[in-house]
Amino acid sequence: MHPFILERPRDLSAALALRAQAGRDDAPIEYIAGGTDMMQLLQEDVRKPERLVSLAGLLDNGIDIGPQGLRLGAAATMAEVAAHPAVAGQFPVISEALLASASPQVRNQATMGGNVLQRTRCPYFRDVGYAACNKRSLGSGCAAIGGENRWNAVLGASDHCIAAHPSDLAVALVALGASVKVRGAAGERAVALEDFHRLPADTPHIETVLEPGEVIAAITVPAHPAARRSHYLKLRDRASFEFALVSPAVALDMDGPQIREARVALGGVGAKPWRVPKVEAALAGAGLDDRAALRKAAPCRRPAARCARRRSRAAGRMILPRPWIASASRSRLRWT
Amino acid sequence: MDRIGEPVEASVDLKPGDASKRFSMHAFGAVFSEVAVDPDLCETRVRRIVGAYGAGRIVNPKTSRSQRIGGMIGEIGMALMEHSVVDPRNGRVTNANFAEYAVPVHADAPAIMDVTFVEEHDPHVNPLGVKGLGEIAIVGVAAAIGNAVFHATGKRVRELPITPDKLL
Repeated sequence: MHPFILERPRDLSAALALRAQAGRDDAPIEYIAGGTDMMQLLQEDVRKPERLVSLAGLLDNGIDIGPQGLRLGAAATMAEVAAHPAVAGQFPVISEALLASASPQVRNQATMGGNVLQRTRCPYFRDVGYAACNKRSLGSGCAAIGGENRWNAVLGASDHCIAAHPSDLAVALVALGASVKVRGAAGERAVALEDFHRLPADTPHIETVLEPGEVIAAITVPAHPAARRSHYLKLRDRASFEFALVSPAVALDMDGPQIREARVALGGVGAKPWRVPKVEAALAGAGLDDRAALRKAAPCRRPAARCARRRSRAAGRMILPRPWIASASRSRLRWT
Repeated sequence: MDRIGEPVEASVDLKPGDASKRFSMHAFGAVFSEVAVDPDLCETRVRRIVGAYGAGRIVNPKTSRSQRIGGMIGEIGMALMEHSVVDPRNGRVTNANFAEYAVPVHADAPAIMDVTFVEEHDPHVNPLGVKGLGEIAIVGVAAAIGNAVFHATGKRVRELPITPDKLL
């Protein structure tokens, strides 16, 4: 591990000022909160900051539910949010996505802000034995393209990077139309989570719209009739403590047995949490028992086929026309 | 030697007997497994493993059973998830750490792992009648799981691990 200086600023504005000294990419100064991802990146020499700015005690960890919706403080842990009775009752997809993530030890430590900002699991990014990684070093190339890339993105990838976004929480939040409250030296601004992560294009090293020094202060989820009937389904190689091969977050606003409005996002297969408006449109008006309609709504056949060239064939098949929405609908006991 | 005042010499000719040719003294086992495969998602979960072993005199039944169960769980990993993914371009293992290389966790282990030792007295193997138990714990379970997946789905997967994409 590269040696670093741990800064423990007394208040948030001091922390923002410290981090703002560094540039936007390959920053010699980085934030650390729960540290569950940062410690791995440090130990594997993926990140080598000169200084780490601790956010411990500087951000709030409140979980507030009101008529407007849900507000999660950036420092709330995954365990706190998952176990909150109002979150589990009114926004079950959030609770389920969190409980499907990591392990209890990690969930006790990891924060909301850090979860959304965690780095990709692409093995070529995590292994500095590979020189080529445009995320680590822009212009060095992408070793994952043409390599073993069963875990990589089939949606939103570019010729410069095919890394998938690993967060479960962010997929649930994108399905529910959540926003991120961003705080910087200039004040606070709100960004829709769907627009928060950037697609890799030709600058895969810049992953979010955060400016240097900015932090996530809170996440807000608007109240919506679909939120209560929501479900997170995670397909993975082992039953627990594993990242998703593919994971749909589905929220349904029901009109009797028919879907009035559907919100659907996919994890594990996109360069960022991937909302699928065409699937949502295809599901509107369909009945939960109408398996033909549900199958027809299965997403992204053509993009998946296109990306399968980059990916192992087997992985490309993962999101081909398998009726995972039909499967999710089997959990409709939760939705009624 | 001091008392005798001269060196003592002795030689012995020791050769293996022919017991290994006359008797088969191996440990044997038979393994059965029950799996559930989700028809939509093709995720496989092991529901039950039953193993019966003839392995001579069992000196410590408790630790022997534990070793069997450990072997069964290890082989669930072999059957369903463990895979060193080698990049053919340079021979580097791309998942060379436990963050990306999946081994079974508690949630993968079935509630029922039934171990039976078949009573066996082998007077030929050695004076105690004991046999090695280490390797046989991880022989057969992956094959039994593969057979159970075939029975459940009609798909004969020839290459481990049996991940969901191979059953789609």
